[in-house]
Amino acid sequence: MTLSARLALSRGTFSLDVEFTVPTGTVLALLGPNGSGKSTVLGSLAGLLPVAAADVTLADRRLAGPGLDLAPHARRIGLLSQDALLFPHLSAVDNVAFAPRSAGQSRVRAREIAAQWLTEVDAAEFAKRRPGQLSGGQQQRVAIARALASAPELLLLDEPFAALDVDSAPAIRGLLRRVLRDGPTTVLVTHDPLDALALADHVAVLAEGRIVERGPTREVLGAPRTAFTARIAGLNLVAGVAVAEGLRTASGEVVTGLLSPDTVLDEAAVAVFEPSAVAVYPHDGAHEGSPRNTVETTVAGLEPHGPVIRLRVAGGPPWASGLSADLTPAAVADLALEPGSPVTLSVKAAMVAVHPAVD
Amino acid sequence: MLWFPAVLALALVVLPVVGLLVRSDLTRFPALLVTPSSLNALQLSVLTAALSTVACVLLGVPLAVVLARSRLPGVRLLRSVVLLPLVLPPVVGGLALLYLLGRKGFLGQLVNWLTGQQVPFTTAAVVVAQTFVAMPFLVVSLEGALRGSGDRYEQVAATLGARPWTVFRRVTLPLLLPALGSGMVLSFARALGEFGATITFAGSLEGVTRTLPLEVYTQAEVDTDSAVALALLLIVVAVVVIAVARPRSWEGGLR
Repeated sequence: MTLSARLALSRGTFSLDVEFTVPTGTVLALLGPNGSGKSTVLGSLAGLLPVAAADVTLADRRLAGPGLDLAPHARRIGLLSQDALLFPHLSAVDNVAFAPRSAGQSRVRAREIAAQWLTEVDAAEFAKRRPGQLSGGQQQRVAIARALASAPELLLLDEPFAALDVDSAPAIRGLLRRVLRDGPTTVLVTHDPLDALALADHVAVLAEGRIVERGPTREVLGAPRTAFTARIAGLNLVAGVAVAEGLRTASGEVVTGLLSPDTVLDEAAVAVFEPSAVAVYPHDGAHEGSPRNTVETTVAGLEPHGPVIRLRVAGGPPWASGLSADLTPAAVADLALEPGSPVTLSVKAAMVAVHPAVD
Repeated sequence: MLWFPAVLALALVVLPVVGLLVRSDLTRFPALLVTPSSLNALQLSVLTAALSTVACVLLGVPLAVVLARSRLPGVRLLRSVVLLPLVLPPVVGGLALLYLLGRKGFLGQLVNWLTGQQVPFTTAAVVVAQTFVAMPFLVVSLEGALRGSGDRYEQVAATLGARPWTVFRRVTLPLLLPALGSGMVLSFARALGEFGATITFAGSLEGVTRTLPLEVYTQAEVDTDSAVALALLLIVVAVVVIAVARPRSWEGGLR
């Protein structure tokens, strides 16, 4: 169910004007800071917010267009927000059965469908409990089951991990990865680049109501083309496969790092570290020390980035190409760095986080 | 320094009841209460208060939902109009009802033409008067709850494919039940104690419109002991109502 959407609205001084397409079965992440209009986009897609000009098509169904504005219940769009918003007066299983019931299924059949979805999200044991008796993570599991039980043609995720504590967020992220693999077309709204890495095929970066950059997730986040994206997502990303010590790149080198709890060994993953975690040494071959991740490469460019100088490298093993490091202006002067200078980069393993990624 | 006015306020509520208790002759209580006119009044009071509570629910719930959810301009003005019976002296409300539904009132003439019946000075008039004064309690209590919870649950329900009526029936209404309970208790208590609007609009006919408060008023002029006994009965009923279904909003704020 390919989604194509164009939305325009203005509210006070804020105006939104975006256009995007999400191919069938893929996940688009809308990445942006608070107030950039991400949630407004979701509300408009779901039909919950009035839009000045909208043109939304899902597969061959027109949801909104000139003179047309389908009611939320007729859109077949599921919405999962950061608060689970389970109906407090219904048990978990009846929450999940709500959509099938609304679609006209019998009580018994709706409960069966609900039980299946609760099993799918590993929440079958909570079926009879009221939301008030469930933890935040358990509630979010049930909410995922409830959204999927409506068999949506488009799933909207609004910061689905933002309200979860650090212990349950990775588990829910892993669960969403699993159900979205063969799941519906999805739009994910988040301010966390790691959510986008874990779930999204494509990213669109939103700033003040406009999309400033878009493309495949790893490309956009690993090599931001705009300063804005670099600021919210300027991360070093190395793609590969998760192994016990960290990550094995396509060319066979191992980047040592810490595995995040939702990483699955031998599955696609990405090693993430901040440019400020990268140490730069002159290329004299004499460097030894604790950092496990050391690579010889060449300076490709230097540019100011706030108070620091961001250095980009090229050459060396394939995975090292395009990495960046932040240095103080004084360090750049001391090392006499300029494009073409040979350098050795090193990153402490403890600074490298290995996260699951979309293939 | 707050305790002095606080004690004074409490005394203002409690001492009159004590005064009534001191004045009453508890040994003659059963005999005073089990008179035909008292029993008539009690029966009529419970019946009319129950009927007007039902009317408050049937009319007040939709009104509260519309007031809380509607985004139309003018809703704020409507909200203050709904509170009118709350601040109006009940006697004035009763007069207003009389001139609307009375022999010469335009709605009264319509009802007379349609049914051949007069509204004033009937049991129906008692129910109308009680509903008029009691409904704001229900509406205010429901609207507060509706605004407090917002419409996020309703929005989720809509994205799950529920039509507006299903959303109302399966989400809005169940979430309102606690507030509905306390609103009903308040309305029932208000209807039970209603005096001014009733006596102006419905009069004081034994067995037809003479509810407990009106009976107390009538007896106070002829048989004080009986009036005191009835008054105590009203107090007992009020305390029982509050104890049985204590509105949650009275206990340390919302929730």
